[in-house]
Amino acid sequence: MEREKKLFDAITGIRDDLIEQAQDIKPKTKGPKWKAWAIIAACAVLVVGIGGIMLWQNFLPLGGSSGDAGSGGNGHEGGSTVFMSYAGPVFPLTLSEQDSKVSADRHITYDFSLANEDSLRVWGAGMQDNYILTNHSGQACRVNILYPFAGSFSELEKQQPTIRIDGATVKPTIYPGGYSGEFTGVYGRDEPDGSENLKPLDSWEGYKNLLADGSYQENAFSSYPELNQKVTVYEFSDYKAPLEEYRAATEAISFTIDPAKTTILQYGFEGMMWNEKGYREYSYFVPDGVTMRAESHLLIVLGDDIGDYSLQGYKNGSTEPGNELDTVSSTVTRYEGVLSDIVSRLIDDYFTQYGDDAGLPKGISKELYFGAVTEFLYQHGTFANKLADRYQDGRLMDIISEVNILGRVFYLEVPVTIPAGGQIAVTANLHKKPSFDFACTGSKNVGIQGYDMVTHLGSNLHFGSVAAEITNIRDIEIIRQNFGFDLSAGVTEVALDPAVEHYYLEIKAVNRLGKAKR
Amino acid sequence: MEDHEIINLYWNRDEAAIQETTYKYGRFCHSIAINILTVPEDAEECVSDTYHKVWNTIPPEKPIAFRAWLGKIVRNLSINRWNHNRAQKRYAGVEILLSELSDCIPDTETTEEILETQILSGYISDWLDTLASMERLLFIRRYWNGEELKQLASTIGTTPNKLAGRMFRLRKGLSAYLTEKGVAI
Repeated sequence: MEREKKLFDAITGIRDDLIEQAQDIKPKTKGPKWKAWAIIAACAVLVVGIGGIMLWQNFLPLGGSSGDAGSGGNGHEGGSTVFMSYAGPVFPLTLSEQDSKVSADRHITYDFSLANEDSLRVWGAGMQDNYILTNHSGQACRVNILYPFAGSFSELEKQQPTIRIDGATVKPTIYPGGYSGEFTGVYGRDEPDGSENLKPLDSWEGYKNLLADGSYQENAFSSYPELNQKVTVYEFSDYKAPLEEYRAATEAISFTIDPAKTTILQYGFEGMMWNEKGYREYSYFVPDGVTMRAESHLLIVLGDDIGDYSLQGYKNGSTEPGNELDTVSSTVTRYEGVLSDIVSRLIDDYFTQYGDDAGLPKGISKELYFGAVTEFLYQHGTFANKLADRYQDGRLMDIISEVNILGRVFYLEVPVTIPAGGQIAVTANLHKKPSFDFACTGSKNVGIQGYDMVTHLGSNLHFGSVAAEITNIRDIEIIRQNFGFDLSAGVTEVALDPAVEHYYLEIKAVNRLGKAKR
Repeated sequence: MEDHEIINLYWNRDEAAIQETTYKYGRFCHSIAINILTVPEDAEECVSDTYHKVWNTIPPEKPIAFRAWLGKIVRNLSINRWNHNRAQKRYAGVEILLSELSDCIPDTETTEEILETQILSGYISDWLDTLASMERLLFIRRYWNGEELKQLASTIGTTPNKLAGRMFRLRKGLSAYLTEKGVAI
């Protein structure tokens, strides 16, 4: 029996009194909110029940239960593995515009040092991706170099490479591409046209499809679309409810629209009911100032206004007849504005309430994040030619949140001058997370870390030579590769064929006792 | 209805027992199954199988802590379903849980005695006894109930990132405890 499963089974068998206590105990928050949570959860089930299981899937990480997600343990073209969690390849340097006078030589080093002296095993590789750019002309050449890397806003601080030019660290300009993955239906392969779940890229070929025609990179550098739509906003404030008695007190707003003339975006609402005739009901749990309920609630109306509406309080999230509670109230303020102003404010609101203490992800400007949200709305959200099912309810909070975590390719741009007939050295240093299979999934690749590199995908540079080196190998063993390293023979540096598109290295960490981690 | 009354219905072979169990603990059972399997239809089947198993098990059993006993059945059926179907299906919940649990594995040479699951449960219970009540709650809600980190963070009024760090320390704490006790898995 795998060890993690044994632990799982052992946890199943812990003493009954411990289990019982954990079901009933009130967490030490600022007030006795545990029961409130329980009621909220119950209500959430009711609310979710309307949208059914599909909405529930929204709460699952990255695509939830889609049967199309990387199945792991599989073979792959050329002998590499399709991992369950794919970190993306290391891309080659490129130029913003092709320049035939410039060529490149590349030398990439994988450093498998332990993160700390007391680390138990290697996880990830320190990478130094070195380039010598040569100007073959008789005139100095000014070019913009671009270094692409796979990542997400939420992990950017850890993923972003440091760029050095001739040994001096420079501060590049960062350009995020759009969401790199796709969407799939709730039932995966059985619902190929669905788009309720996320489907992140799971192989280097996925990146090949993404980058091959250059349009993805072009979009990353193009201006973001504008959100200059005029909107009517209904904003809730001055919440009142007997929360001591009804901890999950809920307020709902309902109205009828002509769906052909009116589109609704929402922020902060947990519940929604609708029908095709235009009936809409949005409901939220009254904020209590303690639990992490949304504190801002806005309905943003595009097109014809909603007209008359009704407000009704409820004892909990079940907005059913018989469950009304008339002592719930709020002030609804109607005003007109421009969508960009509203979205910008909601991004601040979201990161104030749900972000880490620092607010926006480190290294990302408000302008950049706002642009990414705008782009997402046009690519997959309300303004997309093909609206993803996932965003059909116009939940802005979901979009603001998912823009943060979704995978994308970033480009670091640095202007450089290469002297006539001369060379410059460009170095990218990064810590690359591995691709891997989840523990105890039955995959034969559990414990294996995969590292992909591509030689010319997305690059307009001519590479005269490409070489790879592997260092600090004491704590790893190589499982699969096509680089040509031979640790037993001391071959740790190899010349690569620039015509080969993809190189892969799959290693297993060896623990400090000298045994491969089981 | 009190638990002992529900159990009496089972002993009397009254089918209302299942209805009462569903009414009182249906959501609890479903939450465990969906947390582990994340595939709604499979979770639903698992809960149905749970009721079936309860019907066939009481009598002769007469569980003292009915809710915990039910939850253990759901967990067992859910992990069995994952085990059986994992080649064909992805179950995000259990895969993430198991991945996290790898941090708890003690760094012990395999020459040590490999314990039976039941004895290991005892060690984990003993370790849980050493924790502050909030830490114990967090560990059980995450790794027994299978609650998502985000949900748990919301419950206790912190951010998922902060809670993830706390959970990591808890997992490492269990690993250290088992290592200290010379437990091998």
